[in-house]
Amino acid sequence: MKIKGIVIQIPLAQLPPASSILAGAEIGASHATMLRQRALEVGQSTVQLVLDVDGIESITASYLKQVVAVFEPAAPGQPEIYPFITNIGSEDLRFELESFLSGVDRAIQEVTLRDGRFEPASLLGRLESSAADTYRELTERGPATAAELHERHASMASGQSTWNNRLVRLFELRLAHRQRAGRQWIYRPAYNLN
Amino acid sequence: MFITTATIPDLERAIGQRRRLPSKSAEGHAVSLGSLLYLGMNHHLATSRQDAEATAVVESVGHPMVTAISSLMGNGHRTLATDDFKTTPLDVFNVRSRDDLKSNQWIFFCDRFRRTASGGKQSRAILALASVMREMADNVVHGYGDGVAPCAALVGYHVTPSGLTFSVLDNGRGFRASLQQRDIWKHLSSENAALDAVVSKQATSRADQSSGGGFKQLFSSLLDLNGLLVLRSGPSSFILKNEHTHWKRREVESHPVPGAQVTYLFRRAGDPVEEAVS
Repeated sequence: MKIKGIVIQIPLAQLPPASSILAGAEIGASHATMLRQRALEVGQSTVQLVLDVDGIESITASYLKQVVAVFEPAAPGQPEIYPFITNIGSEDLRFELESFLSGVDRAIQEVTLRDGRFEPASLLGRLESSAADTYRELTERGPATAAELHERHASMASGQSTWNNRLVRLFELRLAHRQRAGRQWIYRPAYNLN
Repeated sequence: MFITTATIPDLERAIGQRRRLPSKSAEGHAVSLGSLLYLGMNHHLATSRQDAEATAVVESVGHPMVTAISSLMGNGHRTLATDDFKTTPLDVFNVRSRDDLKSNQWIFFCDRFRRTASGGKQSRAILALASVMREMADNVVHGYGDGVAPCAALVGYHVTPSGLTFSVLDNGRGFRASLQQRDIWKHLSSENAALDAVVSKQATSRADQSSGGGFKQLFSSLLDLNGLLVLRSGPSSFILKNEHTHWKRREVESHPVPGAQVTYLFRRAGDPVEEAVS
C-alpha cells in the first residue's frame, strides 16, 4: 500500500539567522514557524520532516521545546508532520538531543537518507517499555492493527484495548503513521510509509 | 575606586541624590563590565529625559566606555564593534526588541564572543558559555511580552587573558513581576522570593514550559567551570559560587535598582572576581 506523503529535509544550520548553535526560545519559535510553513507549502496531508543537524555544534532545550511543538497532532486541514533527525555530527550533540527528549518523554527516529529512502538508525530519547516493545513490533514485523498484535501475543495479559492505547501513543509521538482500513487503523513506522 | 556589580546599588543611590563620584585618576574610576552596562544605560536614560544632573553624575565616573554604550543605545547601531567578523575583547549588543535576537547581527555578536574567548580553538566550555549567554538574553526579551515592543536591554562580554565575563541587563519590571504572569508564581511576595524560585525551583515565566530552560541550562552547563553567577532583581541579589557539585549561595539586600541583571564570571584560575574594563 502506498501512502501519499512527502519527505522534506531541512538543514537547521541554514535557517536564518544561520548559526552552528541553536539556542533560545525566540529562535526556536521562529524556526518552528518556518518548519510549519515548509510543511504546509508542499500541500500533502502527510509530511516526513527530516531535521538535518549537519554543522550544528550545540542545541539547547529552550530551542528544542519550540521545535518539537511542530510535531504535535495537527489541527484539521493541517498536515501531519512526522519528525526525523539526521547527520548528528558529535557525541556531545547526541547527548544534548538525548537529554532533552528523555526529559520530556519523547523519542525521535534518527535516520540516514540514501537515494531518497530512509534507513533507520537509533531511536533518540526515551519510550516507556511497553511503547518501545510495540514500536519494535512494527519495525521488525511490519504494519499491524491492534487486533493483529493482540492475536499475535494471545498468551500475554494485554487486551486489544491495551495494544490500541500503545499504538495511539506511538502515533501521538509521530513515530507511527496510521491509516484507516474499515473499522480499524493500520499502524506502521513513520519512516516506512511506502 | 573599583566599581563592580556589587556597587550598583550605591551608584543608583548616588544618581538619585545627584551626588557626583569624582576620581583622583585622570582615567576615571576602574569599572567592571556589569557596572559599565548599568552606567551606560543610565547615561542614555538620563540624557533621553534631559536630566542634566543625573547625566553629570554618571559622567563623573569618568570611564570613556560609559558614553560609548550610551551612544549605542541612542543611535541605530546594535553593537560597539564595527566589524562583524573581527574578534574584540569587549563588545556590547543593544537589544531593542525581540526580533533583534533573530538577527544576523546577534549571531555575529555571539560568534565574536565565542571566537575571542576560545582564541580560535575548539573549546567545549566556551561553546557552553556561548549557549548560556544566548539563553540569558532570550530570557530578558521574553519578559517584554508578545510583539516587538521596544525595551531597554544590553548584553555585554569582556574577555581577558585570565577569564571572561558576560552580563545581561535590562531596566524592566524584574523577575517577580515577570514570573507573576503565571498563576503558579502569583504568590511571590518579593524579589528575593522570585530569585529563590528561579534558582531553587527553575521557575519560568514562559507559559509553555514547566521549568526555566535558560537558567536550568545555565546551572547545568556551568557546573564544571570555575565561575561566579550574580543574579539581581530590584533590591535583591543572589551571588552563586560554583563549588563544582553545587552552587554556594549568598543573598544580599540593598538599595533598589530598576530592572534585572545576570552576570557570569569565569576565571581560568583563582577566585572568580570581576576585572576592570580598560
